Amino acid sequence: MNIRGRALGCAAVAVALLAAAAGCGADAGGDGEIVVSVWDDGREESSIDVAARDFEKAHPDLTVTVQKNPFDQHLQALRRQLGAGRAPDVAMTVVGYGESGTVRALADKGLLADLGESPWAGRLPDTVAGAVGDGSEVYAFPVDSMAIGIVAKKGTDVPGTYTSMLTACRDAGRDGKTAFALGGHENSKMPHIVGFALAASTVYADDPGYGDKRLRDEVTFAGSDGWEQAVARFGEMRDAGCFGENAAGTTREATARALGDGDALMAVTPTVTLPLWQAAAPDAEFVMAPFPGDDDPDRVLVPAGASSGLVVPAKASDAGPGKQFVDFYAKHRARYAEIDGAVPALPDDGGGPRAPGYAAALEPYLRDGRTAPIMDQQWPNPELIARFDSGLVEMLTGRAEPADVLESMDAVWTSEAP
Amino acid sequence: MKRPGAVPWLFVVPAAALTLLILLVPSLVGAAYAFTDWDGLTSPSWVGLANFTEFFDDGSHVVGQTLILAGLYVVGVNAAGLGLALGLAHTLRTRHVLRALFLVPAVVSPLVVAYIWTFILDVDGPLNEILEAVGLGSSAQPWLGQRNTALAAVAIVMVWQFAGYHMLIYLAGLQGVQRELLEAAEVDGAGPWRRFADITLPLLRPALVIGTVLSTISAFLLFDQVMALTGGGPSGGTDTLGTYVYEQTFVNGRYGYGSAVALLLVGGVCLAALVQMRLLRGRRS
Repeated sequence: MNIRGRALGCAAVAVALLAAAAGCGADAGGDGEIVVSVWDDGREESSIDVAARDFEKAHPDLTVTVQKNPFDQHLQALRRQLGAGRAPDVAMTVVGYGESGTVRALADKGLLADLGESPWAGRLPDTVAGAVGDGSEVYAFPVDSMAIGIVAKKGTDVPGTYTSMLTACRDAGRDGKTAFALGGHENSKMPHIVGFALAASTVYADDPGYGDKRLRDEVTFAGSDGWEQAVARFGEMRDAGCFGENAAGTTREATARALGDGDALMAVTPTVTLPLWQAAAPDAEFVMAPFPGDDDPDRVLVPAGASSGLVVPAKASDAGPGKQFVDFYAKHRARYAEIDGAVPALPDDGGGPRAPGYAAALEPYLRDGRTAPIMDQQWPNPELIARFDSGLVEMLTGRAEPADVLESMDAVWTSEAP
Repeated sequence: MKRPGAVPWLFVVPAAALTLLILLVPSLVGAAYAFTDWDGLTSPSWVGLANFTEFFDDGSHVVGQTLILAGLYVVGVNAAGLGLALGLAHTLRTRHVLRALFLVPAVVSPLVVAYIWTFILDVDGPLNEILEAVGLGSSAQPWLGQRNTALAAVAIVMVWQFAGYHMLIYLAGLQGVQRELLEAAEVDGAGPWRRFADITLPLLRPALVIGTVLSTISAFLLFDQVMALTGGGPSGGTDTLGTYVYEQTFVNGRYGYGSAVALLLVGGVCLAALVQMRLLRGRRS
């Protein structure tokens, strides 16, 4: 064999070895194995692990393998798996839109199986249905619920109206404190939560269907009086000193320290983030209350919905076992939610709690349907939430007006996931 | 002369195949995606130069910020590195210990360094507390929360971390400066500045080429320090081409657009490095 021949021979061997290596690692299960891909929530044993064990007992012919990814890498990992045709049989993801690997974003690309025939699919609450389906098909089982409100140490005098909130901000400033801990640092992702809490009252109290209209391109942000009022009220809160002087550069960690040390009295936050606040003040007892986005109590709505969901990728080799697992999880959701310390997004038939114990003050709002959607779950382009956050930070530094913020959001609006 | 047998090929071909499959082919495929609207999930469609046009329309501010940051870093880290090298080249008895100390930040993960500085520069962090303790409370700032200080803060953190690394480059360069030349110049009446400008600096040009090229490449590819320090904020005020590519590609799922910006970034880095090498070598000749 000459040199060229030997080289080609070696190359062929190397390519064959690489090809064999590349063929390994397919994620979809087969031969009675169900692969469930979830994010690692830090618990030694989360509800999915328990559900996998329970499911195997109930179905001895099937095995369940739980694959865990770091939380901040999970959505991207799921996208990569789906894009490469190596989808797991079941996956946990975030519901609605808002990010690029969420339920509605993946469904827009035709990558998720329809779960509309499942026994739980016909009983989805209105607050959840739009985040896991498009009105005709259902793409995810909603696992846990979340709501946005005010977190404060137990005993704090939380204002009940918008005007009294501004007064409380000025009073706190006179006492050398900050009424609301707010982290404007880019990684904190906090300003838009205040924006959502305000818009619940100024937009959705008058027009509960605003989100759907925006998805149909019938309205804009800049043309909405409600959104203009929400962002203007954010400016009024800034002017009343609600967020202190340096909110634009404050990190989430610093806000947690401020709330724990008592330098700040309250923060606007989703229920699911309470552990972050608690970690900064382990001995403190925190409670949550509704955010008063208006003076009229009837116009105070709580942004609420599902947080995460279980999906069955459309490209899974055989969707049957995956659907079976999701239905099994749904059937025992109350028990599994308890293991995770969460509240099921699909209420139990017995009428269990709608909010965790520390957020009991939100319970009447959730039970009576006095809620608004988690707004970015209706925003297909992930860039929109970044624009909203950035715009509010620009307002904190006096570099933007409400119209600038809303026009910037309209500029990147798309009615489907890009 | 005896011709080599099969043994060299057994070493070369697997390595070449790996390089081809893991580096070259993915890079070329990535470059091709720059001309598509690929979302990482579905089949891409050809869009020609649309991604590049969009970037020149919407992303020019990121180019400006990257150039400012690169300028601050390249000048700062090379000036600091050269200063440290000159100071620690010969005279001080503790120079060996000091050299090791100045090098320590360079061997720590940039991400770790950035998180430490995020804490130092936080609104209630040690820097502002020290300023208040010494009666300079009015100078306390949200350093990472204002456009006018955040970009400079990122550059200062990078200079702090890598000045010791560049010190090593210039220390090596100073080994090539003959002491006799400096002594002769001193006998001829040349002062310290004259000796530095006319003898040391010209002889350091090879080290300057290496220092400036390496720091320019680092500055253009800057990512982890910015993500950890500012996340690109406030309001995108410290976004660099590296963070912009990440956000567009992986956060927004725009793989085609992200590939286009990455392609421009690679071209920009190559061009800047070539220009620097040509300029500095040209002067030497």
